[in-house]
Amino acid sequence: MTLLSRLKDIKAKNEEPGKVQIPQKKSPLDLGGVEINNSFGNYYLIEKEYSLANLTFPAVSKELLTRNLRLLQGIGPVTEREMREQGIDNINQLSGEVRWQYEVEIVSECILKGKIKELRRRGACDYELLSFFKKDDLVFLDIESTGLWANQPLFLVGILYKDGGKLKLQQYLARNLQEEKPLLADLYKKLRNFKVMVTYNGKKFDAPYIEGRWVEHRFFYRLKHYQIDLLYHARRHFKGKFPNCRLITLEEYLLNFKREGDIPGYLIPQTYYKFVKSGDPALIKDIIRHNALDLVSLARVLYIVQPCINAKDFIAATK
Amino acid sequence: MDAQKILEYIRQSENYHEQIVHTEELPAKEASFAELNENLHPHLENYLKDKGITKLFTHQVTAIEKVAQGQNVVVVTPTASGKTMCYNLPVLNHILNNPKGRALYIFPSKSLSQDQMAAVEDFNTEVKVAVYDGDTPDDLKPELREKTSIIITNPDMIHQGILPNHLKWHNFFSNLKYIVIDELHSYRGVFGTHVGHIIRRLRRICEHYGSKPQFIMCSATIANPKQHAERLTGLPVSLIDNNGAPQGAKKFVLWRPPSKRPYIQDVIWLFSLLIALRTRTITFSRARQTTERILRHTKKLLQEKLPHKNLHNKVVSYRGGYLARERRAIEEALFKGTVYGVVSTNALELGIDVGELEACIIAGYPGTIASTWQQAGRVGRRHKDSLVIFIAVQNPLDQYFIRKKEALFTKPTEQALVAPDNPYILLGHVLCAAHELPIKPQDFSLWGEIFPDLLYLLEEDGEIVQSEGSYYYIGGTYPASRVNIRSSSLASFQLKDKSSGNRLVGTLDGHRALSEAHPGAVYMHQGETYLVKDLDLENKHCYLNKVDVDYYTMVKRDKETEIIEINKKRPLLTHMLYSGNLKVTTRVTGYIKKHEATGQVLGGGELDLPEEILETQGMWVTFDPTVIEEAKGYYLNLMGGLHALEHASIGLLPLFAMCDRNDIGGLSIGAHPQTGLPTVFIHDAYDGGVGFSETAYSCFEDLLEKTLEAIKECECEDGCPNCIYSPKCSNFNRPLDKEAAIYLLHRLLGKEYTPRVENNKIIINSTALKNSLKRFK
Repeated sequence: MTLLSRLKDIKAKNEEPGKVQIPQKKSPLDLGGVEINNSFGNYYLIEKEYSLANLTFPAVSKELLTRNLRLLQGIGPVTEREMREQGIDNINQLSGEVRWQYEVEIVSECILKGKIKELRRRGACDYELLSFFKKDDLVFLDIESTGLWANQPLFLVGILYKDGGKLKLQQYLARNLQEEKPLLADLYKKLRNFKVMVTYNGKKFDAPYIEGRWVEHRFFYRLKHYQIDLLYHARRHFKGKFPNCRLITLEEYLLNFKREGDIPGYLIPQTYYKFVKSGDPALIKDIIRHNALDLVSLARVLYIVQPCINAKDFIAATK
Repeated sequence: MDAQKILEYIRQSENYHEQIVHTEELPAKEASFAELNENLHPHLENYLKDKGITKLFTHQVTAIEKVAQGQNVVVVTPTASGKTMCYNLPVLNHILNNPKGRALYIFPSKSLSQDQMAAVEDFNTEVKVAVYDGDTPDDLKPELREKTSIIITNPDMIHQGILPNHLKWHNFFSNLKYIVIDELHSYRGVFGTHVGHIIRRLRRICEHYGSKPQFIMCSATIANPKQHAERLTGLPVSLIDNNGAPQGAKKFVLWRPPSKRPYIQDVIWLFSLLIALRTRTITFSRARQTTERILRHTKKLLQEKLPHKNLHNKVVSYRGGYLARERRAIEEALFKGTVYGVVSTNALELGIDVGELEACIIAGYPGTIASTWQQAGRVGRRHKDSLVIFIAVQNPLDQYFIRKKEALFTKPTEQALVAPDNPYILLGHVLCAAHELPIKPQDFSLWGEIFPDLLYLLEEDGEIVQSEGSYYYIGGTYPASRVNIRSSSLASFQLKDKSSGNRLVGTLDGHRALSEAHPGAVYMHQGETYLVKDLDLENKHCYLNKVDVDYYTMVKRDKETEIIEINKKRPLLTHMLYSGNLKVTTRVTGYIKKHEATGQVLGGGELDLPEEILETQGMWVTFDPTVIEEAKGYYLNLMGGLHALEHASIGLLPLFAMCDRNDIGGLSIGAHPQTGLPTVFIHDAYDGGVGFSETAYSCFEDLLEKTLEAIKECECEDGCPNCIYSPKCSNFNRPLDKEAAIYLLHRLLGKEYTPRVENNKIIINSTALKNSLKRFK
C-alpha cells in the first residue's frame, strides 16, 4: 500500500464518529517493592539480597603498582624487558639512579596519596588500581532504557553493592515516564556513596546515558566514579575463544549457567511501553529479572579484571 | 580598457557575425547611507573605522535595527553589497555585550563555511568562531561545543550530528540567540523541504532548552523571498531590500552564437580576446568538463596567436572541491594581476570575493535568473565600468532570454519552492524528531495538518510508541542516517567501477537508476564514460566498466498516468485545468544507441525491468473536444501538438518555479482513459511532489503565453532543441508537430488561429503528417 493511500485511510478512520477508547483500569502494582516519594514525584524501588559469595573481589596489594616499571615515563616494553633481565622488578630499585629518580618520586607519591587518575594515565590497569579500594566502595550498575541514545528515557536502574554481610540489589523503576525524574534524583544521592562503578559496556553506554538523562532533566550531575568496564576485560581474555563476548556467553562458559526465558534486549523498549499502557506486571517482571541476573553475573565475573586468568577457571571456561 | 571599446573591438573582428542581440546599459548607482540609532560595541566601531567605513549602507542599518527589535529578517540585495555585515554586526555586537550568547551560521556547502569563518575572524574580536562539520576532528568537538560562540555548519551536520546529540549541546542551545542562514534561495525543492524540517526540529530543541533564537537570513533576488523565508522557518519574517550599496555601470550583452557553430567556440574566442586585451575576466560554464575544455582551448589559442606574451599562463580554471587555501591563491593572483582570467563552474558564484574583475562571460544560462545575477555580480564591484556577456546555448530557456530581451532585466518571476506537507519527505523527519525528543501534542503546530497522521502511521509500523500523550522513538537504528537530505525518499544506488576493483564511483538516485543505469547504458560520470554491466536491484548496486565509446544511450519507457485525486480545478475558456495527486507508473522497456556526432541510431536492445511507481502532485489540462476535428481540418497532427506543447511548457516552467528539467515530468495523450479527452499532464518528478506543478497550475496562462512565444518565434521549421525537443523524452521526440502546438496554444489562450496559408492552400507543416501523406502517394 502506498503512503498516500495509507494516510487517506488514517484520515477516514480519525473522522469516524463515536470511537472513544476506554482506558484500561490499572490495578495497583505488586512487584514486592515500595513506592518512594521525593520532591520531584514518585518511583518504585525493589530490594533483594544475595550471598556475598557472589562477589569475586580479588585481593590486591599496592605492592603490585611498585612492580609496574612502565608507570615511569620513559620506560616502554623494550626498556622494561632489559631492566627485568638485569633483575630490576621494582621501581624503588631505580630511586638511586639520576635518570629515574624524579619519576620514581612522582609515582611513589601517586601511590601514597592515591592519585588514581594520574596512575591510570601512566598506564596502571584496573586490577592494580583496585588496590586502592575495598569491597564496600564498589557498585555494580546496569540500566534498562527505551532506546540506544540518551535522548530516549530510561526506566530501570539496577545497582548491586555490599551491605554488611550480604550483597544488596536495588532496582529503581519508573512505572511511567513521569517517574524518571524523581528516580534520577535519588539515584544520584545513592551513587555518591560509592567510589567504583562496575559495568558491562558502561563506559560507552550506561554511564553517558545516565549523565545524558541528568542533562535532560536539568540536574547536570556527573559520575565521578572510577569506572571498571568488564566488557573490555572479557574481550581481552576471550575474544576469539568464545563465540562472542556478551554477558550471557560469559555466564555460560565461566559460570556454567544458562538463562531460561530471558527477554532479548531489543524487545525491552516495546515491552516496557506495553507495560506502561496495560499495567500488566508480568511484562515488567521479565525485565526486572533480566536486570537482576545481569548484575549478579557481573559480581560473579569481576575476577576477570586480573591480568591473567588461572588455569582452573579456563578449564571451566572451555569445557 | 573600457567596456565600450571592448565591444567595438569585438564588432570589428572577423569572427563577429551579428551575435550581439542586445546590450543593456545598467547605470551606475550612488551609495545611500543611513545612521544607526544606537552605537555598536566600541570594538566594532573601531573595526569599521580602521576599514575606512564611516557610514553604513541603508540596508545594513535597517537589518541591524530590525534585528535589535527582535524581528526575523531576510535581506535581499545584489552580490557584493555588504550582505555579511547585516548578520556579522548584530551577532558580534550581541556576543561582545553578552559573552555567553551563541550564534549558529548555516551555509549550504563546506567551502562557504571556511570563507565565512575567515570573514568573522577578520573582525579580530575575542569572540570564538569555528566550523563544525563532517571534517571536524572528534577530539576537538567537545571543546568547540562548550566554548565556541559562533558555530558555522551546514544543514547536513545539523541533521545528522548536532540535533540527535543535543544533550551534548545543551549549553549552546540554552544560549542560542541568532541563527544565520545565508544563500537562502539555494534551499529549495526537495533539499529545501528537508532543510525546512531540519529548521523546525532545531526550533523545537531550542524551545526545549528555553531559547528562542532569531533568524537572520540572506537571499539572492527571487520573486518570493519573504514567503520563502517564512515557509522555511515557519515564522513571520520581515523583508529588507533597500539596497544602499553603490554600483558601477555595467554593460550586459546578450549573445547568440551562429546557428551552425558550437557555442563553445565563441566562448573561447571571446575569452581569449578579453585576456589579450588585459581585461580581468571570469567565465562561467555549466559543467566541470566544459570548464576544462574552455581552459584548454583558450590556452592553445593564446599560445598560437600571441606566443611571446606568455598570456596562456595567465588563465586558470576553478571548480568545486578546491580548498579554501587554493581558492585564496587564485583570488590573490587575480587581484595582483599575475592571472587575467579564470574559468569556473558555478562554484565561484556563491559569496566568494574575487575582487577586481572587469568582465564576465556566462556560457549558458545557469538555470535560474538568481544565479545569472550572482555570476554577473562577480564583476564591477567598485565604481568601475564592467562588461557581462551572456552566451545562449541551444535550449529553450537560453533562447527565451535572447528573444525576450527585457526578461533578465525586469522583476524576477521565479519562485523558490518548498513543500512542507510532502508526506514522503516529512516522514523521516517525524522519526528524527521523535528520536531527538519525545513529541508532545504542542509540537504538532510546528508542522502541518498531516503531522499527527504520520505519527499514527509510524505507530502502526512499530517505529514509535505513544505513551501518556507523547510519542517516543523505539527503533534501534539511528534515524538521521536513514534520511538523505540531498535526495528524495528513495534509497540511492551505489555505482561501482568493475574495471578498478569495484571502486565506488558515486551514487545515483533510486528513481533515476532504472532509466540512466540499466544494463547496456552509457553512463557519464564526472567526465568519464562508463558502460553499465549489471544493475543489482536488490542490493542497489550498479556495476560499471570504464569504456571509450562514441555513442550515448536513450531509454524507451511505457508510462501511464492515473488521476488519484483532484484537489483544485478551474475552467480555462472551454477547456479545464486541474491540480491533484497522480500515480505515474513507468516501465523502461528498451534503449537505443545513438552516435555522438551524427545522432544516427546504431542499435539498441530490449530491457526487462520492474515498473516504478511515482506518487506525486501534478497538473493537467483537458482540451475542449472540438480541437480534435478542428486540428484535422487544418491537417495538423493533434498528438504531435500535445506532445510539443508538453515539452515546450515544461522547458519554460523554470522561469516560474526554480527547478530544472529533471525535476518535472510530463505526459500527453490523445484520449486519457479517465478524462476521455486530449490531455497534457505536467507532474513533479518526486514522490509527494514539491510544488512545481502546483505553480504551473496557478500561473498556467503566463506559462502558455511564454510557451507560444517560444515556439512561434523560434526560427526552425519543424521544431528543434531550442523550442519543442526534450533531451529526456522517452519517445525519442516523436511525434512532434510544431504547428499543431501553435494551434493548441491559440485555443488555450483564446487567440484567433490563422492557419498558414500559401496560395490559398493550407501548408502542411508537420513532418509526421508529411511522412504519413507520403506513404499514401
